[in-house]
Amino acid sequence: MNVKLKRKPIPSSLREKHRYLFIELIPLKPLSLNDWEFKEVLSRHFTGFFGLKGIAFTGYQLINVNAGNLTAVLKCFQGFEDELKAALVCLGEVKGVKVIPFTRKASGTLKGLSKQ
Amino acid sequence: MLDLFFLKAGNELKSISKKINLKDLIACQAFKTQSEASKAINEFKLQGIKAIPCNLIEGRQGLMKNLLNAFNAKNISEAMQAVSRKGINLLLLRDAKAIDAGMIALASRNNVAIGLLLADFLKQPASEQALLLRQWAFIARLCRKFQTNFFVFSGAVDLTGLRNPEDLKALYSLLGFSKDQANRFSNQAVEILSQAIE
Repeated sequence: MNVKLKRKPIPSSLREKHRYLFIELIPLKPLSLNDWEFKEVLSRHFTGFFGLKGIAFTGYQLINVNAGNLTAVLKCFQGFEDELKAALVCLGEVKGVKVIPFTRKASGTLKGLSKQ
Repeated sequence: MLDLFFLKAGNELKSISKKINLKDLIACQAFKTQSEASKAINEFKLQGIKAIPCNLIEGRQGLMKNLLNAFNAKNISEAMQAVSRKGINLLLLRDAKAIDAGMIALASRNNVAIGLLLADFLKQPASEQALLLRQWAFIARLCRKFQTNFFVFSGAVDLTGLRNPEDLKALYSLLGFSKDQANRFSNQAVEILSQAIE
């Protein structure tokens, strides 16, 4: 007989809280990337900066990318947003084109990010 | 919140600074006369950019009164010379190896703020960047110990070197400062540096 086991929910005090960052890269020369390349650029930069262990503990996750206007939404654990911002500031160039990375908004929810 | 750079006023600067919410700026240039400094500031004013003039000094160049004087220290002896000289408000440490606990203590006593430039970090290869970041963290630790004012600026020489000061603030916590200290350095930089001029 199959008995469906009900998973015990994680108590809210133990649940990881997240922060969402809306970032943008401003190139001064034309820069053409597709979504996959843009994802790769960001992932490689953050992994290079924090290392595998570091990136695991920041809870870095790429939620959404738009290579057309070079914007992305990042997710991280609460308290690590400053580290992600600092890493982003250190991004100097993409595919040989110098860029200005910029954190446009930060919010606790995705809804809040779109509202602001 | 403000940022220090080595750029001159231009239309592109205005549009970029608007895009990245850059409001207060320290325009760091090697001014020869007082009128040259006021002329440069007028150019910024005409474009609607609020800028504070800063005289960049190298070697034994003279200081300017009623102006922020920043010393560009390329090695430890120059840094020592700068912190023991009267009238220097900001010491830009261009060589992170030029660290000396005595120098930071002297800077605190003489009310000289220590400034690090992100542009120096960005121009290094990846392998050197890790070493530089470690040295920056050590400088930050010494500054905390001796209660020396510490700033991280973009130090942009071209427009792509500009950064949003809110993002630069994140570097303080990476270097070991608390949120309060980071807020103090980034929000009250204008007050701290203008106190130093007086």
